Amino acid sequence: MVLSTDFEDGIVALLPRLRRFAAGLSRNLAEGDDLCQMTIERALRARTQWAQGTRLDSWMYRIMRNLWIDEIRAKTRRQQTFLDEEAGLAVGVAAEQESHAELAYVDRALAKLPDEQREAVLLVMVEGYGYQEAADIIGCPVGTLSSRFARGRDALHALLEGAE
Amino acid sequence: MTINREMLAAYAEGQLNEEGRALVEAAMITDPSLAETIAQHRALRERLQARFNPVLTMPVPDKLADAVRASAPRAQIADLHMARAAKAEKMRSPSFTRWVMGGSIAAALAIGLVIGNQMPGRGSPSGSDAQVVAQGALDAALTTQPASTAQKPVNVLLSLRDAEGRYCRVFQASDTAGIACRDGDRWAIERLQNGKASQGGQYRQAGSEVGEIMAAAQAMASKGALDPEQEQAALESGWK
Repeated sequence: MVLSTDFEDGIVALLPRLRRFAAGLSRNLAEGDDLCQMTIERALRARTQWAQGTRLDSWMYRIMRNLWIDEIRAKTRRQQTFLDEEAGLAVGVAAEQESHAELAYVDRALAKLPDEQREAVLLVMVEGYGYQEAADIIGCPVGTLSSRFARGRDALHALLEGAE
Repeated sequence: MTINREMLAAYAEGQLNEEGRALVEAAMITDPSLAETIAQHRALRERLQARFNPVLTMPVPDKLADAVRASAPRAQIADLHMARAAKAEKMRSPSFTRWVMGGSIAAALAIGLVIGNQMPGRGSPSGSDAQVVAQGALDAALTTQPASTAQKPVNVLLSLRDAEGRYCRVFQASDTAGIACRDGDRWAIERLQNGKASQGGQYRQAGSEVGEIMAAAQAMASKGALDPEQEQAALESGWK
């Protein structure tokens, strides 16, 4: 008898990366963890849809990204309307090396990007995916991804330069 | 051909083919501002990674790791006997279950099989402080019974080795399921799920205790369950 633990083990191994992506999407570590939990639950319910031998990470990222777009983003956006922008969107990342001001700059700049540009920038520059993989996760053509990424990167650069 | 921003971004990310790379590199010779844009791109990437990479080294909250195990569907229980046992549990009258960890002595006492060393009048074996250990019928079953034999009062469902190399066994008795791991000459109760207990706030579907325990066992068994030969060898060597 063999216990099949590959799937669960794979998800557990991915948890730090999934938390990073969730924190980037929701710009809040606690909310990011809620998003992670929803992602795990949905992935376990949909496990038969994951084809063994294919990449578990892209599959999980896709689930997380779709949950974020479909179920959380609208709610978060309503809440943030009432937030003082200067209060920041501080992701609760332990910031031993980085000053709080630096984190706030980056958070605020990311917050100003359109969702489609932010997810492209996060997937490519933070999560390290190639264009094709990032496009597959988002579910768009690779040319669209390339264009969104370049615009998002330029906008982010301009925002950060302007903030200093 | 002019090099647009999109091409530069793709170049900086290593996403261009050889032809594209050559075009960008040729253009960089005549236009130094292109190289500057690429340097800015790399600085931006480092800045973003400095922002988010600390998450990678932060401890993952238990609730996330637990979610992976707790939601594992019973469908993946590989052993036919386990599937039967789970099904039999499901047919019982409705009962609520809850997780109890190894320290929950009250639930353990309720089934009369497990006795902690806090019991009055009992000796206090060294090195087991607040641990719940198997005694009586449970201890005997864990020590002597091979897995997958439907026996009363205690049925041992499978055996495994955990990450520390300890032998652990999944057992079921009445509507309680648990995992015991060999600790010296005793069986320490690592997990216990009681089908009758309804306090604790976490209600689960009737009959799910076996599935839950199996999911936990799967998470513990790095190399899967022991096969019958391995189990017999472990049994004969006193689970050491």
